[in-house]
Amino acid sequence: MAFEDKKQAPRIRRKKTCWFTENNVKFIDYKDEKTLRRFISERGKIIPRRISGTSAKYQRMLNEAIKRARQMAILPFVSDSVR
Amino acid sequence: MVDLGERPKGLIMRQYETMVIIDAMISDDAINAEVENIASMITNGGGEILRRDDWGKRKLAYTIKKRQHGYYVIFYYKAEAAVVANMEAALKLNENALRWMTLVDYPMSEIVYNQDMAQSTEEIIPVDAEEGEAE
Repeated sequence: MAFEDKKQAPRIRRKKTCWFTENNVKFIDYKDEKTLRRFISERGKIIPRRISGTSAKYQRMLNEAIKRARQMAILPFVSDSVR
Repeated sequence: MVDLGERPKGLIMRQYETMVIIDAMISDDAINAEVENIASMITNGGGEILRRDDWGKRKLAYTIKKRQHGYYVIFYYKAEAAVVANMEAALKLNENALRWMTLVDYPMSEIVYNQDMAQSTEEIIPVDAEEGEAE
């Protein structure tokens, strides 16, 4: 019975939208720390598309920008704030 | 993008962007001297500095050469490839240059750095904040 109850309540999911598409961004700059920070986890990891909803085109651009920012110590490779 | 049509070979000027992190532990005068030194290396080689952004002293996201802070400066310039090569060779020997990165034909950003940006992380909402569960 309990099993059926579970089945009857489908999870309502909001449609994820791409932040960059919505904001009509043309190019993601590695120097734009504020924007890049939105797309990294507390640990400093890049948030995957399936969670952030970023479109493939922007995710590629974003990855490159984040990696460049990491090289220049703008963003951390690993954030040590979480232990 | 650059026009490669008319110029003779070997004198191709392309647009570069170089970000340099200088050791912030040295004196302000020394930092200025280093920045001017890099700028002169570009101009002496026949390059033209289009814009220069000074981010100033900033906390590094991780330590580089045991330094916590760095002085960030970004040059946007047009130059020949040899100028860039010479500059990078000089930076390699320069103990005060912690790190640098040169990008070719990278779009010049309109982002003007403000000092508070680095510290104010509270207002940044991670995109997955409202989406607790990962699928």
